[in-house]
Amino acid sequence: MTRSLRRTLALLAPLFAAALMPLTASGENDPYQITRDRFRATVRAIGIEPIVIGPGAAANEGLASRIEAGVRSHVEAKGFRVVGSDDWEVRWRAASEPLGGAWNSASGEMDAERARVIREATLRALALEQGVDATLHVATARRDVATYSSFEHRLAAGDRGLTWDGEPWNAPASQRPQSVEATYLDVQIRDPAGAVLYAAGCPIRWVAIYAARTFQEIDEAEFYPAESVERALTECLDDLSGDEPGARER
Amino acid sequence: MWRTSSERSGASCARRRRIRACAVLALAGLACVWSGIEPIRDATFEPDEDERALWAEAAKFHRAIASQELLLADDELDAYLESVARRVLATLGAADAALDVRVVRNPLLNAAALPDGVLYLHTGILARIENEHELATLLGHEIAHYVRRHALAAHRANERRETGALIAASVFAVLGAAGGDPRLGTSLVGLVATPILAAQSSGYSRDLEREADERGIRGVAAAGYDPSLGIELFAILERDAAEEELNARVQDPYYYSSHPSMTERVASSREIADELRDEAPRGATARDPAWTVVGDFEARVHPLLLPTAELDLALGRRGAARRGVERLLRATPDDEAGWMMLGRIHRASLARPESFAGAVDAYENAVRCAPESADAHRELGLLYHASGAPRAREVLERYLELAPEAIDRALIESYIAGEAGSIAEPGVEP
Repeated sequence: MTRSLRRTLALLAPLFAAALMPLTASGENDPYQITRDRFRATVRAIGIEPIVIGPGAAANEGLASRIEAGVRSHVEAKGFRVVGSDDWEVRWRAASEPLGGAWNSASGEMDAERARVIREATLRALALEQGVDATLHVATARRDVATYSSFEHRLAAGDRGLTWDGEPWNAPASQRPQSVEATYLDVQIRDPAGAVLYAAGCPIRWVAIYAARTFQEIDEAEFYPAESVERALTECLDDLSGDEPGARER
Repeated sequence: MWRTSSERSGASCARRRRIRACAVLALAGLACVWSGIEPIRDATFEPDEDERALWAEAAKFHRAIASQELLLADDELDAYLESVARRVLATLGAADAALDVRVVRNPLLNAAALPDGVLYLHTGILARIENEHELATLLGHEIAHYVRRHALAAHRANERRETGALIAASVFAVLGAAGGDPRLGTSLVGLVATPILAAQSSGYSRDLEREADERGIRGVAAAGYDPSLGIELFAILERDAAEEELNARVQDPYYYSSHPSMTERVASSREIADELRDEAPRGATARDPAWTVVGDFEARVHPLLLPTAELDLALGRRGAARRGVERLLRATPDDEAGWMMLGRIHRASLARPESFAGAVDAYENAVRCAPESADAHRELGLLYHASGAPRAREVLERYLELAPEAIDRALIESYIAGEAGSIAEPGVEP
């Protein structure tokens, strides 16, 4: 371990101590960025954008389809009409082909301006042809949980050692971890103007732990256990049910 | 002199109102005397020992706001706001006191006076205010907090929350906003990075808020403004509260928390305004010389309307965005940028037939106002194309004429070539 990393971890230690404190009020974050009533009045049909798998994409083939199936099932159960990502892709291609695609063939990088035009045409077509009011963007990411208070409830420390969602870590109780990284499911519902109407990020599972002088990391193929993904999906989209239209705000 | 029974009743009501007002001010005054807090009177004012800590926190806040480039740079607007503020300040017995009015780019309805005499006004609340009388009422309330040193009073009384801690927490929130909560997303970072204003406007007890209302309105009337027009501010805020569009985390802060309820405020403010009207020169109205304004409020506030609408739209507050743009267009119906913005607002809900029609109307007006605008032709042409309107081809071709190097040229040409295959009317279920 380099000196700079040790210094960084030492700096993180107090943060982590705070993260281990019990969460007194879970679920205090409201994913709605506008009122629930207005959300329900505004959004009736949701288009799913292609799911973006961040870490461990190559080792988890079929994960995007699995997640989309779960998302669709959750969102439909909440009473919204869902338009799948295949519809998105058809319209994206239709707008993309005349322009030669969103990627710069010379540099191999995305051409931001062309991508903006294609995205705008896709959203317009989805709105006018499919009645889509908002799109659902779903992505996975890897983050340091110590910096995010909403993950405290997954961490527990006691005489018998440390656990994440009840699973023990192989570190002695005396060696509190300085840093824990986890995979996340991020969900955003955006209107066609780009405003975020609903946003949630939920942990899937821990993937790396730095504790004292030890470091543990799991294989990328284990980044997304089905039951953990389902739990994250439920957690992220559970609020979407909200109250009935016209009901009082929380 | 003979009086009708209603006049007698009115006079008696006015007397009761005066007695009640005196009681409120006397109680507030007594509270200040008990806590040893004298109002600020002039530029020689020196803060108490414990007040210096509040000023230090306020200074940190100013630096944070400045470093995030949230301040609006409009010298003319600043000068105008300060002239109105100073006019009110003089009537509150502190003519020469330090005062600095700053405008923050933020669409939420909020304003606050910090203990060191810096007043922050959000562009959102300025864009909602309709005249100088209302502006003076808003400033009067905040200046009353400042002159009466309510931050210190709250700090000493430790009323539920400790003001110093609030300021510190707010500064931390400003500085730490980019770290954010992963569940909140990042769209609001920067837009809501001024929670100290919420803290300042919600951190006072109801009694202090009432006192600020009472003294503010009296000061505003003494400064030559029409209090009955000024208190329409509260009615606007009350109406907007009913249409409040954000969640609990980022809601418009001005009329929440410990502020007395807007209904209560409107009622009590109206009583004071009525009483002041009784005392005003007979028949005085806003049009009479008895009530005067110092500048052209509309002209000063107009440049704020479009940027504020833009921020509202980014927050998903389409109603607020639309109201701002429509206000602009009522005053300047040939403003192409206003029509383009209105079109964008409608496009955010294009699946609704009424929004589609609204967008077409907005872009038709934009083309009318700016016949050489490529963007206006593009948007209008795309909507015509979507609805199969016969003019789609002509308008899209005009767009390509006006913007021959357009990045979407090939896409537009494909639309023109396939005009027969235009997409369905909006609102049609698949």
